[in-house]
Amino acid sequence: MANAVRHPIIVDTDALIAVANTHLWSTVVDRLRLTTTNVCIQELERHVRETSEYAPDGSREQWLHHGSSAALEPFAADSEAFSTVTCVPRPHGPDAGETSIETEIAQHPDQYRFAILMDAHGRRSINRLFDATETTGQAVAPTFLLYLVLDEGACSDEAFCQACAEMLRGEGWTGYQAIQAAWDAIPIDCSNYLDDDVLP
Amino acid sequence: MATNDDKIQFRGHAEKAASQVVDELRLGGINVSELARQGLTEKLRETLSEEEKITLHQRYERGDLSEEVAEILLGDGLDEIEREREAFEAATDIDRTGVYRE
Repeated sequence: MANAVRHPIIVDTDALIAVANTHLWSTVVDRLRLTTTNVCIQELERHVRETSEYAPDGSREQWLHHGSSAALEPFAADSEAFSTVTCVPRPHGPDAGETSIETEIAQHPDQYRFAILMDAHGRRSINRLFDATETTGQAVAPTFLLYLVLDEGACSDEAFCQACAEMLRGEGWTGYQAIQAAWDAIPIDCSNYLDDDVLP
Repeated sequence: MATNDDKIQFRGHAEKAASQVVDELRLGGINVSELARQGLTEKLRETLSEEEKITLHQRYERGDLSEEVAEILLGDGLDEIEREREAFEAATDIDRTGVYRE
């Protein structure tokens, strides 16, 4: 299943789940080339196995199940745009997926320009790694994938804003921080499309 | 309503006795007021739900909450958003060859 193709964007488990739960995931799949690690794929498979398809609407369990299933599809579809690299040595434990991204970047620093992670601490340590290897790379939150399709003209401002709100509802305060930062960084006014309860 | 000059007081006989025990144990004693301030900050943060944090940040953005208070309640959440914005901006400047499907 793993191949040696390394696209410039590498995405971890939680970031894939966050974006795959938005309605823009199909656009992301159509437009972007993504890489992840075998460890992240196994984490997604474990979420699908260990959570119920019939978990209540709006529950964290449903978010994990639906997001993980949707995230796995393009990687399983044998598409050239979605590649899985094997991480050696294989990390273990609750942060294994995140650690595998760090290991992969440490071994192939010039292959990656964007590392997409949900966890702020994970992003910080990968940014230190990019700095230390003197390669051009930046670890950013999952909202960046939504920005890439917006910037290419593959989705409307409204679709971008809606997807941010969907991510916010599923990811709570962690997602909120990433979304506020995205809204601060790019000049887009979501107030025409979203309710006040999600706007700054 | 509480004002900024109000002392924060609570009935805590056992807590007072416990702090005296620790105070006597240490040569330099302990600063109970400082510990209480830190403890209150910690506990306030712990009690906040994700939704409450979001609401508080929205109030801060609207200017309804001072930076000092927002920092106590949200911890490094404010710095995190700032760091995240900088990372996002830096990422938008990076070459995107090979990122999009043809």
